[in-house]
This record gives sequence, structure tokens and C-alpha cells, in this order.
Amino acid sequence: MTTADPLYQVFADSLAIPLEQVNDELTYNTIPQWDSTAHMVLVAELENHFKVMLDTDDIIDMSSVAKAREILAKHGVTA
Amino acid sequence: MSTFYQGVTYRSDRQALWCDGITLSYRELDEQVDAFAGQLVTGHLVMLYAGRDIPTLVTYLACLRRGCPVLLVSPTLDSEKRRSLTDCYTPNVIIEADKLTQCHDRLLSIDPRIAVLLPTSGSTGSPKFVALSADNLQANAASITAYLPIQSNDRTLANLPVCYSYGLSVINSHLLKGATVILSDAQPMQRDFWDILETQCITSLAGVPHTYQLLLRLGFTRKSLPHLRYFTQAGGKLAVDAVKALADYAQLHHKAFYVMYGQTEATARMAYLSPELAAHKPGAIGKTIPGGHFTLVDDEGRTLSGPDKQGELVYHGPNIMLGYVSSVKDMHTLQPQKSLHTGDLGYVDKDGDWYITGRVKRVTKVSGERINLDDIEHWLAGQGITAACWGNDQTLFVCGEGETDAKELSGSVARYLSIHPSLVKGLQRDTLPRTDNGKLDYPRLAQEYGV
Repeated sequence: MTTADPLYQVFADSLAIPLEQVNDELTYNTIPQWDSTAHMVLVAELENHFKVMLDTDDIIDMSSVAKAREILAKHGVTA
Repeated sequence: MSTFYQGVTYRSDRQALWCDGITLSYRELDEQVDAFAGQLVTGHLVMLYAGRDIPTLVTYLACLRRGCPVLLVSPTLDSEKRRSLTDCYTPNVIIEADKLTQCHDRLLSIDPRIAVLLPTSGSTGSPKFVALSADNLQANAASITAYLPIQSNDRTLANLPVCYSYGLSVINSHLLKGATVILSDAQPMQRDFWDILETQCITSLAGVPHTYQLLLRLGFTRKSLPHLRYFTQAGGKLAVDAVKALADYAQLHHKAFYVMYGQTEATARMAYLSPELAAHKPGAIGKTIPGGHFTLVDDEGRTLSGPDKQGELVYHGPNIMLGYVSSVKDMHTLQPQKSLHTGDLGYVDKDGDWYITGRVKRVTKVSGERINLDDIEHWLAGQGITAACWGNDQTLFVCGEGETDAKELSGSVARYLSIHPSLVKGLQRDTLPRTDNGKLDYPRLAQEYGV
């Protein structure tokens, strides 16, 4: 990928990690930066950036970058 | 009365622990603890990386039974922090999950009253620990069971860190009552948490302010949770509107919500707010636990009496720690104080309910972690950075003086404290405001930057 994937960018910003560290396999709680506090920041950033409203199940199920892409697709967002 | 850590027959057939699908009755737990205690040498110092799992509980109880002082340490510490703690305390044995490392056989000179050592700051790996006696632990567990409605058929979710005084007090008080402790790492943000609430028929929950903020965000108050009888909050001040929302939810669903107050220096618990008052007095910490009481002193140490006077809360009770230790040398003999200066400012209302209004010292709590602001300034000074730190429960402000990059500054402080960078606000200015006597002018900084 030559240009930054916007979803990757949101993850990098929210989790405060370098963009290169973000990939589809990145999973909740597997790096110290992606804890519950960061998850709430991430949820707010995703809602803000992609103009969606995420419900309880979406927030809980968003356990990886790939899963986030899936959930956004459910809300009609191609990320 | 029997202690929570000894084997007692009346509860032997009851379920003691559950973890990841494995169940242990009190009889089985007693057997495992006795077997493990047999491998330990009385007086040996044990360093235990305390996870939320059965081997950790077996080791912890075996140390108490055998008379081995045990340092409970966070398993999340990296190898560098682990090494420096090992150097500081020179434990005889290091235990993590099923792995036991024998370090040496020398008998260290340790005050025989020391039973458990809890870190003052779990994630930073600070060597400063609170030393507690078995009597401290037993007294506090007994006080807690006297005011919380813990029943022998209860099933509590123990998902706070075991090396955290609040998390440990949940375990001790439930063992004392012969109730079931469900050990799990599951947090509200994970589906596991909600599944366990249901499948394990959880009857009580314990959480810090952050836990309840998450629960509220995730629609906790829209669920009926029929098994849940009560839930408790400690570990810092929860926002008044959150207390109200939780109190209203509890009332509507015939549950009880306990706002509580404590410190590791008091083993865990000092006060609790009677659940029927939570909705009316959402800022209060209530009354002292059975066996304890508060007095109030002004800045010159004079005792204040009567309602609505501000001062520092001083606690008296059998759960006051033996003392602080920062290395094995400090463990030689401890001189416990008769009273505990909490460092919290507050007052009592005419009904006898206590309120906390602020801190005496420059300490703040961010994301549940107690943070000494002066420590951060010293740490930065060690790297040649002059900075001022202040903050509240939501945000830590760090303002660098001169040529520093605000973003780099907040990033490095967040990494140092292992907290999310969004909780640290980095700032920079050419000169920091100082008072006439040259001290940093925190009130002015707080005013200029909003808190």
C-alpha cells in the first residue's frame, strides 16, 4: 500500500503507535497501548472520522483492525 | 473466629474458586495450599507475580499459612522493572503462575509481622511497597464482611489486579465468608466480561471509576442482570452524575450500589456510603467501616470537631499498615503508627457522613493510578527538562520550560507512567510562572490552562 489506509491512520492516532505497527491482524490487548482507555478513544475517533454511531455490541466486538473494518462496513462505510 | 487463609471444614464442600472453566472446592483449595506451603520455608521472602488465576491464589494463601512474607507484584511489569525490584528485595523465591525460581537460601532479616507487601503504584514498578500484617488483612476482611451483604452462596467477579489492595480485599472477604471467587481478566470492553456475568451467575461486581465509566458507556444501566445483587466502587472519586446514574439503576432493579473509600495504607477499606444514600449524597464517602473511625486535623495538626469543618482526614483502626518499605533493608523492623494521615482533605456533615474535597499533597489519580506529581518533575529534571506537573482525575498536565517539544514531553510521560497519551496534556512555554519565593506557581498554571 502506497498511501496510508485511513482506518490504519485512525488506529495509529488513537492508540498512539507508529502507522507501520498497524495491520489487519492487530488485536485488542495484545499491545500495551491498546487497552480499554485507548479503546474508548478509538471508538470516539472512528465515530468522528467515519460519521457513524457505534452501539454496545459494535464496541465490544471491535477486537481487531479487521473486525473494525467489518463493523464499519455494516454501517455502510468502506474503510 | 477463623482467618480467611486457614483451612476450615464448615465450608469445605463449597466452591471456592473458578477460573477459565476450572472449579476448586474449599477442600481442594485447602489441600493444594497445604501441599504448596510444605515446599516453602518459614521466613523466606517470596516475590509473586500475581495474576488472576488459581496458582496465584494457592501461592498467596500458602505464604500466609507458612509465614512467608510475600511481595505481590504486577505481572505486567517488563523485564527491566522486574530486575530492579529483584535487586531491591533479593527474594528467596520468585513465583509466576506455575513457575518457581529458587534464588537463594539465606534467611533475610525481616520483621516477623510482615505478611503481605503491596505496591504503592502497580504499573510503574516503583520499589515502594506497603507492608501489611496478617492481622491487618484479617481485620479489614472482617470489617468488610460486616458491612457488605456478602453471603456464602455469593459469586463475585474478581477482575481487578490481585496486587491491588481493592482487588485483594474482594478475594479475602469472600474467602472469609466461604463464598465463590470467579477469577478473570475479562473487562467491560470484552464480550467475555458480559458472558461471565451471565454464565457464572455473578452476584457482585467491584470496579474503579474507570470501570464504571466504561460500564455506563456500554449500556450497563439498560441491562437487568438478574443475578447481580450489588456492586461496589472504590479507587478514586467517581463523577457525581455517574454515581447518580448507577444509584438510580440500582434502585430501579432492586440492587445495591456501594460507593467506598480506602487506601492500600489501610489494607484496603476505610469508609463506605450506605447504598440508600447514594442517590441523595452522590459526592459522599459515608461512614467509617466497623472498627475504624476518622478524626480531622488542620494544617497545624490540631484536632477539629463538629460538622462542615475542613481538614485532613486521619484514620484510626486495626487495618493501618505496618509501614512503607522501599528495599529489603527497610523490612528489618517496622514501627506501625497508631493513626493514618490519609493526605485527603474533607469534612463531615451533620449526619456523620464524610466527604473528600481534595488532596493535601501533590498527588493525583489518573486512570486509577496514584501519581505523585513531584516524582514526575524529578524524573524529568533527571533528563535535563524543567517542567511543571499538575492535574485532576481526568488529565495530567505537563508544561515544559524552554526548548522542549510539548508532544514529545506528553508522550514520554505517558510511556513512563504506562498510561494512554490522551490522559497527558503536554504544554510548553519559555518561562514557567513562579511565586515570589521562586516556587512554581501551580494555581496560576491551573487557572491559565483550565485546571
